[in-house]
Amino acid sequence: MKPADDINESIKKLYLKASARLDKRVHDGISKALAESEKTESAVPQPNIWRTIMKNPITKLAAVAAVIIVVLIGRWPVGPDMTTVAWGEVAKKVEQIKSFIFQHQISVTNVADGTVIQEAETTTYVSSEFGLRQDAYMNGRIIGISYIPLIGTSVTQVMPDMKKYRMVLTSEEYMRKIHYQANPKGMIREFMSFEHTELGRKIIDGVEVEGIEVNDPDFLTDVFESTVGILWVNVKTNLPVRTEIRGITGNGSIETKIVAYDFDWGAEPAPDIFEPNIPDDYTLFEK
Amino acid sequence: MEDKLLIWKFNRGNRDVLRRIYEKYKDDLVTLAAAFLVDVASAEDTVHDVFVSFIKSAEKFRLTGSLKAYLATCVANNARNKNKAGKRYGSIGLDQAGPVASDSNRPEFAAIFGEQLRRVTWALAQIPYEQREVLILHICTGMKFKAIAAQQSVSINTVQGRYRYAVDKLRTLLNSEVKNETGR
Repeated sequence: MKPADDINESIKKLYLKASARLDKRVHDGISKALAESEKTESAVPQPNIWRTIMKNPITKLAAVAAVIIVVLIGRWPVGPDMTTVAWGEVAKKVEQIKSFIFQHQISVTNVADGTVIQEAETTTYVSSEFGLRQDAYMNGRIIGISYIPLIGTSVTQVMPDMKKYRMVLTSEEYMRKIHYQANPKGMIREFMSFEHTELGRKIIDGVEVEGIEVNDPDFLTDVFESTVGILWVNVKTNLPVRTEIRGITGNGSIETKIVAYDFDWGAEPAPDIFEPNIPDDYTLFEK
Repeated sequence: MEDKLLIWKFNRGNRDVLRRIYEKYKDDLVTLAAAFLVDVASAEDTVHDVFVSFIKSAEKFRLTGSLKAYLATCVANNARNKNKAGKRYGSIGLDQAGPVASDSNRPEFAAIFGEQLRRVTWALAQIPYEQREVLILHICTGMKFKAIAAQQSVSINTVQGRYRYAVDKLRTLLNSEVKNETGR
């Protein structure tokens, strides 16, 4: 065979081995860059996960699982503790629970004509040992799964409809807040940090509950222009049964309603539920 | 370790996984850079620079394709810049260093492949950089002409032309060398 007829094969056979000198240089360079990265990390503003996720209309719904969590991150309990003895018991009770599952219903409506713009549902798994996972559904189909680990700063999102996945890098502080606020302990404290109106008792799904309503101009003001929040608690168990948040945006034109319900306080989700599952044929999502 | 897992760990903040990525692809990338630059030392500088900038741009890094293709593109860009800047570091040429064929350790092939590849690398050094880059990217990384055109900011016709010129030139050079050797 003539060499000229074999150009491709010959080029493919080119092979050089990296020298020990290069090995040392690269590993030293990585170590140096790592050290510099760690030094500057705390000084660099971290990306706002809420804005990153919600910027894109596709990922907005894929990441709808994060709505409640992020909605609550906008506020951090700063007000006076208005808890009564009963509400204090609620907080103590939920603090003791290691894992649970609950559902969300989220709807976005045009205030002018009542048209539903978007609707979604989520199932949230919470574990104080393994982290948090939220599965988002639209029209009965799963559209997004968000994995929020206890360790690390990366939120993984898998979008089965699109066969895509993405990672959103946040900060340790941000992750700490997410986990804190995702727990009903944080939700209750958020409610209780504002003056509230007692709604009395009623029956929800056969359970006798007692409720409070928060309607404060500063309540979730980082996310909505105005917000009303309602928390219903089981009078026998002192555990939350339902929360409702109605937020207004778009100069009063859009209403977002987020309802958390179906709390299973005795659930023990399997550990592998919290481990991101990215099928081999999924590719990275780029906005 | 699978690339997707490496990237996943990297994006979760595990920067140390970069060492695993380097170990996995270092030989391929040095070979690629050496084929571009026809210079071993510059090739190693290129791979070093690529990995250092890789970690520095970690926050912005979002992989859309394969990890290997991404790294190959980084090497190609870096090598092109070095070539433009004329950054040569008084190093050993690839043809002088002697390429190592994958089968060259086998005694029955060593003599044939060793000499054949020496001629190929010598011939590569004789063709213009832009043509060499197209040839190497297409053959070594499997990159499509369309992708190469986007990378080089030229039309696909230009890329296809560069590829044809590169192949023709290599054929001519290799055949002439064979004739010279047989005529001696």
